[in-house]
Amino acid sequence: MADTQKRPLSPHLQIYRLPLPALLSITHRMTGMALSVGLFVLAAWLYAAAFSPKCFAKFHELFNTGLGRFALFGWMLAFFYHFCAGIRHLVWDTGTGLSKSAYRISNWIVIFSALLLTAGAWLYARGGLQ
Amino acid sequence: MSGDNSHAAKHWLVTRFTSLALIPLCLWLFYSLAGVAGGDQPLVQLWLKAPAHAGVLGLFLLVGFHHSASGVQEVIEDYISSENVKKLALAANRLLHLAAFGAALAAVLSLALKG
Repeated sequence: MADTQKRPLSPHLQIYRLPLPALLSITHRMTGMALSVGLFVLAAWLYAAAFSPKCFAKFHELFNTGLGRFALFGWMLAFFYHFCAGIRHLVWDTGTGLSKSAYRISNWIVIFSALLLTAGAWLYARGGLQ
Repeated sequence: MSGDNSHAAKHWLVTRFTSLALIPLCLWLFYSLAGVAGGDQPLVQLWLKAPAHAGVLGLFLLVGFHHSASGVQEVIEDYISSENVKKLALAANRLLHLAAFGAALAAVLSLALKG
């Protein structure tokens, strides 16, 4: 009885540490969904700019709160991640970079270029926002 | 899924083409928004008064909403098992994307043509 309790469990979703490629894959989907929400916010912002000055002022106010900045930063990070991972998908679609060793390298290229682009873009946008 | 796979292949291809088109469009949008987003309404209007800006933004909205709808569709198809709920969700997805695209495009046209 005691022995059976020590047996390893089969990988169960809640306790299973996802391998990096799986983690990056689900992140691509989740950032995609977040960006869909962001696109609707962009549409609402444009609509407010054209048809409702009151609503536009509210947007302006919201984007300048801490939470608003955080959301904008989150969308930016989601965008650059989805951008880099998406380009890797397009490369894969041509049949290149599919070997295990290429995969290992491109995982980190995607992660670092997403972070780097986000950092650069954030610094650039901060200049524009002030 | 029925035996007819032509729409699946088309969906796959369209997602690739919209992805490719979105590479330059998104970079342009980000570059533009960084300069405009912090400003007031007249600045947004000034930005879209240039026909080229309004045109490219309209193109971005077309391709972006298409890509977004296509992505959400894929997620719905993968995670919702009940056929009825799936059908409803797919219809709602299309409708919401179409409505938001229409509203955004109307806004861009209005800003571009105003005064």
